[in-house]
Amino acid sequence: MLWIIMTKEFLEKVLTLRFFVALILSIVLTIVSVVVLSEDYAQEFADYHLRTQMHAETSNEQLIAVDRKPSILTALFQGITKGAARSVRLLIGFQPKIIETIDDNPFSVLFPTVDLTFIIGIVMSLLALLFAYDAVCGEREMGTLALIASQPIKKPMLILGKWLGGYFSLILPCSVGWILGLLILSMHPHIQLSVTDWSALGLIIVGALLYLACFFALGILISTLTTRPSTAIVVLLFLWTLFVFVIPNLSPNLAKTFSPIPSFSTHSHEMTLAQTEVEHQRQRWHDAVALEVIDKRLTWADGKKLLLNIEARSTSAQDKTLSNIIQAYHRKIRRQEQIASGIAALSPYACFTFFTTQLAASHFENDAKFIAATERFENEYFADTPSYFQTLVSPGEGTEKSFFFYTEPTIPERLKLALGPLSLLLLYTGLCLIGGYAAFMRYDVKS
Amino acid sequence: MVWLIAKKEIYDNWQSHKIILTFALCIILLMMSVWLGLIDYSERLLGYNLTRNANTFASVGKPALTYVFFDEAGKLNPNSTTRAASIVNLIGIYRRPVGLSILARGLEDRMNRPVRLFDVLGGYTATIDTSNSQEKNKLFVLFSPPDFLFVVKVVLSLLTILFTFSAIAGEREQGTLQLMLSNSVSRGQMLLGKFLGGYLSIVIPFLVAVLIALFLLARDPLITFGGENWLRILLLLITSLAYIALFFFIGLYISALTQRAATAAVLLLAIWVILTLVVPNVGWLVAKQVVRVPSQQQIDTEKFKTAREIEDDAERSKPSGMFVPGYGKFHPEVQPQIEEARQEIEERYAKLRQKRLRLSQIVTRFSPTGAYVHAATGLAQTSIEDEEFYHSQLVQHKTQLDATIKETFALLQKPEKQPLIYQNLPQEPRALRDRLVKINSYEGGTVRNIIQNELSFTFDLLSLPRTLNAIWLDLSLLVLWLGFSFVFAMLAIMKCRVRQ
Repeated sequence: MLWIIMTKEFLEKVLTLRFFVALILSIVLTIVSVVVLSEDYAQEFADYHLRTQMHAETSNEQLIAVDRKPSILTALFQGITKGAARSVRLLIGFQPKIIETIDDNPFSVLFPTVDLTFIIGIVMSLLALLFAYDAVCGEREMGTLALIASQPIKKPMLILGKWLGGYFSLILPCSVGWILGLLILSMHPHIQLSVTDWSALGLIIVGALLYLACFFALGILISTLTTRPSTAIVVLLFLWTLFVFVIPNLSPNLAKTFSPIPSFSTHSHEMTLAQTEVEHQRQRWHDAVALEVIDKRLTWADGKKLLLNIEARSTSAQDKTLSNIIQAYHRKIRRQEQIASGIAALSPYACFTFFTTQLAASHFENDAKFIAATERFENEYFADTPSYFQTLVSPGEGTEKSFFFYTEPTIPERLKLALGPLSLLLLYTGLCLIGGYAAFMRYDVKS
Repeated sequence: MVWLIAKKEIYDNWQSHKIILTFALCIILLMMSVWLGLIDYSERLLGYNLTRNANTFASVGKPALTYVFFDEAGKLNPNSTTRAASIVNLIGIYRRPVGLSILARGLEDRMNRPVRLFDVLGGYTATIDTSNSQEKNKLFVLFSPPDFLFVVKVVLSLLTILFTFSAIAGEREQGTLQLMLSNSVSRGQMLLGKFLGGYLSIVIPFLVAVLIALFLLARDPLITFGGENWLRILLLLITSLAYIALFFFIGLYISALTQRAATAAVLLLAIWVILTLVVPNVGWLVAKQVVRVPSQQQIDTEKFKTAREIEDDAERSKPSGMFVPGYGKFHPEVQPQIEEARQEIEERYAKLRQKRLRLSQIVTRFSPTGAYVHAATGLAQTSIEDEEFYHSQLVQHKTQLDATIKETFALLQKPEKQPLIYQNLPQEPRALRDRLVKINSYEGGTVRNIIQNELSFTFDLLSLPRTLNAIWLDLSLLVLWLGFSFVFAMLAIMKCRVRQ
């Protein structure tokens, strides 16, 4: 009997216009997005090679640059890829400095890029609601629900059958899009998917299935709570707007009111003041040297040593002061980000975004990880290298050292971080399912 | 009769709680966005004022330093008299945050970033550097904060669809359409009545929320809007109302065409996804495929290679002892030549970029949402055109500053022009000491004054006529969309079936 209800539910959905619309949207959007984004990735990869070459040519034993290799997953699930650090410059005695790249695309600010997170998170969740909104109240209105209920079938079986049948009919058009997208990806001449990529993709698909299940269950819940489909769709779209556009988008600003940090201009003002202070110090040192040169009638060779010494002292003092300020500022930003993530996690859409970006290594924590890794490497690499100003005074012999290539976190590491959002998604889905079940138990099937 | 239908529509909408939901969403969203926008704006303004005042004394990074050295015999050596390169490092040249950006953020963040004008390794050429992507809460990148523009663009257009999808198809299903038309009412009158009733049901909650939000905005002491800004807000409001109306007509059109309300809802949501979310985003992708511009990295590499070639040539003719980390061998005398070559490369690609930008604007305009976003950001002074205007002013500013700095240093370096500095330096230590202290303060003072004067530079904003000139196409496209959707809705209603 369960099987009959499932097939009925499935076939009923498959033969409708909405199935056709879902299929077309899913296929077209996924294919276009995969083609364009993999093209972008190929470009990004070529850029990465150019960058490493340029950095190799300008490196010496005091200065090197570490580049982060782009990955196809970050191209498909962009996360914060646009604002992430691509290369870090390491100069002996200095904090790692991010080499900024200029973003020449004003459109990405006005209209966000359509990546796979967008397609699944926004478009497909909307489809999930469209598949679910009239599942219960629509049938009640037509009177068929009372007919089915008059059959020898228990109510739990009935709702389970409806749930499973409807869910499979939703998954079908979505997965057709995903499979085609994966096919295109695997046939791309310049893209080689590694085992890590495949497993991350597999896990993301599991997350996407859960996310769609969550919205589908929400749809069934609301459909059971209302008596007319037109009310159900209004309520559902209201909730959808809340979850997809309102809660996540308000979260950073709300976090800002809870944990305020000075704006960047205030912060840079603070930096300028500190820098000026160091500059005055330097000036005083220089004056002292100039007077010493005059008093002792030093030659250029001797004076140069004194000067370089000052340069070394003042630059490292400046770097230390500035990096302390910057680090304190970054700590504040991290805290705000955590609060904002907490608020955003109320929405399944944000949970799904966090889940995919953690697995695709495009989460903002990955950016911080990369910079921290370069910092550790710097301390190790320059442990026994004389500083720049030292070598100017007495040039030493450079020794060959093994270079460092940043590797992204492994799948178990990523999965560990993605478990939080995943369990929240499970929780939301479970709540909607239980709510839907409870509401259906006491639902009046008569029209 | 028209009014009767309109009233019926309004009561219908009240009953289905649509109006309450709309009220709740509009008021919560618009008030939140203005309230949070004001907090954010006050922070940005504070930062701007701080930096602006600070610039006057902190901007000159390293004033000129004079060193005097002696030869082996203890005599003053004029050739060894050297000076550390003055690095003019101006952090934080800011454009004043635009008040209207609270309503439509647009590209405001890109224009609020501090601009660093710094020299190229001892050459005195200022370089515009506008990047500091690391210094903010990264969740803003992931989820952009909702402003008035976003609320209208996404939320209100969606609500409009909710109000319209069952307007014709639903009534036909219930059989009430036939009853209504059996009265002495023409189909045109019915369309008008339905439009008035439905449109007012959305627009009244929206306008109430907007008035509250604008009241919040006007009450804030930070906001000192003149007449022009209020006119811009009025225009923005009218544009938004037109945008909502055109979605309303699209909704009526589809609702009249389809047999069942559920079908209309599905079709309309698909159209909504395509018009508001997909087409505007595709603009850039299409333009990128048509106008091929090398990536920033490729351009940077080309610049780097050119610079290296020039430096290598200089190295062959006159070896230099200077090695700069991250740059390589360094020759001060070829720096102007390198800068020229760099600029030439930059200009070559700037034209291509411009072309790409224009094309993507054209493609995004195919969707009413694209046209609406361009128009609204234009009115809020945060559009692409505003950014271009801002950049042109920066370049102008940079050229001026460049010329002044060059002039000053040339003056200081000419032997006959520097009686105070290098000429006739006394051999006697104490006299030399006194002179040196004077020289240092003199030079630092000069440079500082020059920079101070240059910093009084303020950025202009596009005036209303120029804004209108930039967005007239978007406005007329919106009107065109409105007209077409009205005509189509009219035609569909004229020929639609009324029986169940």
